[in-house]
Amino acid sequence: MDYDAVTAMPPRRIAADPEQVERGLAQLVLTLVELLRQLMERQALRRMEQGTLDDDEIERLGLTLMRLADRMEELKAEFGLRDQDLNLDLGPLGSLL
Amino acid sequence: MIHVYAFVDGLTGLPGRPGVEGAVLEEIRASGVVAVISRHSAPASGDPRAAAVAHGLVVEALRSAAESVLPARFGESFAGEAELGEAVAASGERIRAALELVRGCVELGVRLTPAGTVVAASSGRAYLEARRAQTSVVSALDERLETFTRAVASGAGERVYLVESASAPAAVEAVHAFAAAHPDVSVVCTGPWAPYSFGEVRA
Repeated sequence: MDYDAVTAMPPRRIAADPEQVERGLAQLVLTLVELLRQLMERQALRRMEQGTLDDDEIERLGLTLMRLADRMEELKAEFGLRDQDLNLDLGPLGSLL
Repeated sequence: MIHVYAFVDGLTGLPGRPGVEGAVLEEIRASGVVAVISRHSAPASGDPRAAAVAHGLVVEALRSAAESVLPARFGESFAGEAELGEAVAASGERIRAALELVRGCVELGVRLTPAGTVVAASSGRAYLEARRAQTSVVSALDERLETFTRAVASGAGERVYLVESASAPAAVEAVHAFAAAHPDVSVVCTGPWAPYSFGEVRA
């Protein structure tokens, strides 16, 4: 059976099905949060290596990032998402994460 | 109801084994993409673990029966061919690109756990130091496998490498050599598997 006649739609769209909308939105929001979390973590590691953070700042940043990582795991489980779901294909630019 | 096992290219023949709940395997073409499926009169009602194993065995068997295999996540099902066709039409470009990426390839999963794991972190500093150790170990492994790797993915605490099937034994050897050179890191290598982590199709 050939479905070429079916109009092609953009890939990775958010499904219009109401039951899928919540998950689709959660996936999009969590992808952006994960991107920010990774950027913050890399920045923290870089500053720690450069010695520009004092002990209190390292402790505070580390605790914040650790709790954020834990919360992300909980949210991924809640919405049935895996690590590889929190990514966006940016075409020729590659993947977001 | 249609259960989808994988999208394939260069299929030389269907595996000589039954699908989920003993169903007969079929290949159908939708929007220029070949899907390996089985038909069911109702949603699977048997042991879900047995169904998952049957699904996985079909996907693994397809590795030797097709040039390119893009596994569908277990449980992906469609009401009929029309619904499957609509889904494929919506994602056709992505499916074809993924089939091209994984052509002739398998994936290897590598779980790395450096001493003082993030899981065990008891303070903010310990967390950051564990993350730094983990990042550094991952970079070293990426470098070690660079010559074998077509693509890399991360997921569920592991690194997943897409390598050509012919290079898989050498890549596994390289992982073992890496483990021997890093006795302070727990290294667990799994696979080769069908490339589930590089474009797995979902409804």
